[in-house]
Amino acid sequence: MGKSVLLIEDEPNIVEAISFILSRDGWSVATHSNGHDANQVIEDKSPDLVILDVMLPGKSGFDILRDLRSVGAKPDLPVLVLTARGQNKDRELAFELGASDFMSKPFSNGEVLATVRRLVAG
Amino acid sequence: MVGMASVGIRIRERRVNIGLKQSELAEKVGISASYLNLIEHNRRRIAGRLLLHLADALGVDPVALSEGAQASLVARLQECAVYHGVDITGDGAAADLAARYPQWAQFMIELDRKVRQLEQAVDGLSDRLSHDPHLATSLHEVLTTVTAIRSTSSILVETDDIEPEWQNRFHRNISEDSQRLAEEAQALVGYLDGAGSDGGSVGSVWDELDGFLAHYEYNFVGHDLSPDGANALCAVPELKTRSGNVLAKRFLSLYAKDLADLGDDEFRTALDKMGQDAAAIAAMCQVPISTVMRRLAFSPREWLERPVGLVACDASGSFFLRKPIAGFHIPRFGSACPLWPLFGALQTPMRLSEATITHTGREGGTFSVQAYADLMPGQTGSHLPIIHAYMTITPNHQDASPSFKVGAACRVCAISGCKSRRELSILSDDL
Repeated sequence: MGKSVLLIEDEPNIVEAISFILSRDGWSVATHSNGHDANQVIEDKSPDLVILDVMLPGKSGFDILRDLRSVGAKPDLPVLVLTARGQNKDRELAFELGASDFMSKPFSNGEVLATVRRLVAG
Repeated sequence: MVGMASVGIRIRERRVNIGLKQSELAEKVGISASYLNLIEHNRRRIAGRLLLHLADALGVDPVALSEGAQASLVARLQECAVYHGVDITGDGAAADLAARYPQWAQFMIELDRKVRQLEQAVDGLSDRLSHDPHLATSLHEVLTTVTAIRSTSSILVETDDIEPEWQNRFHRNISEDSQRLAEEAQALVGYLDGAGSDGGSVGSVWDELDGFLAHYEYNFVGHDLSPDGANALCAVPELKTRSGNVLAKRFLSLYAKDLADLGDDEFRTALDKMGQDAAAIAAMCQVPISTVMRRLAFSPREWLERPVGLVACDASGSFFLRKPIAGFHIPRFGSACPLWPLFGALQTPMRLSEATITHTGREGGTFSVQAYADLMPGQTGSHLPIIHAYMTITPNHQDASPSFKVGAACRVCAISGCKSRRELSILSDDL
């Protein structure tokens, strides 16, 4: 497909698994493991989609998303939020902050792939 | 009438059970069969010697036939029905059950007791699951590790042409994550096991403070409260961390100040004259109301006519002091019911409010509460004063004042249509 994904996740084995399945599907995958400078990395890499974990060292995924939508010039960048905090209130907050979609851990690889394809195509 | 029905029915039931004719029993106790018939059909009330003779002839304890024991059983059954929202109509329904099937009645009462215990445990666990930071972190770690294992194993299963290098790598990842998951799960189980075994072990510094206070049964009469004395008092297993130790010493310092302002003798004299009215005692002894509220809560039980619980919070609504009381569940983590007068006091500092409230929690009950907030100078550089609110909680078994309902916390509260509800309850879908 020639499209790129930035995966912001601090769990190395999840990063490896998701990178593997996306690469196999033709995606160019960049990864970043902390929240400190995540917004700058998004700016620099300019991906077609961001997969964003919530519980990150330094800065939470929710804060990164909030800044992305309010400060950054990326209002339309698709963002898929992944989190082990799967309660309704977390889902609602994610959408309120501008997430394109939300997935609770543990998720299936097929779901992630289908969602990534849909969000970029859409 | 309820009592008469019970005694008569019980006599008849027992007589039939042991195979005695009416005439035989009547002869044994020296009355006519027709009179016994009236008794068994609730047309005559009996007590005293005749009751004793009948009990003896029937081979039972007189208490088993008496109205006293019966009334207690009936009252308990009726209370069970009300608690569980069961509409048992018809006068005497509970009495008939208790009279005809006393063992089944006792069984129902025992079941009710166990249900309430379990409900209380659920309340505590739910509260913990929602708000215990250590538990939340542990669960997050478990879910993250499970996710890694699931994703990795799916790749191995679903990818036919996976390169050997990747295959080895993923196998190693699964092995590492499995080991980590086992350790995380063991730690979680150990944490929960420790929490359940004694009704609530230490999980935070506030738990340490609670444990410390409970260790001394919520009063320090006769103890040395000097710095050396405080060190000795804090040498208890419930205080595991430096933070817990600091909180305990801070409490002891406050307790010592309250004791200096209102000594035991003066306080007890005021109690005798004014009862447990914090405002009246404060006026009589010329001390702050909050001082009296703390003295009431942290006095020996035998000094008080009725037990006193206490909860205190700061301006953010976070609890910093707690003395439990049966029937009024105070959440250990997270936020409590916003309807508590404690929180209203934050908005009207230096003004005592009183209310009669019905706690709809598991054991529940009606309570008289007094709530009061102290205002203190704020931090240097801040225009905001420091506010500490206190609420004393006393069982109210007699006062018929109108009361309003409160819960423990939204998550475990079944009150429907509450405009202050903050989140869905696990007990209903009401929001």
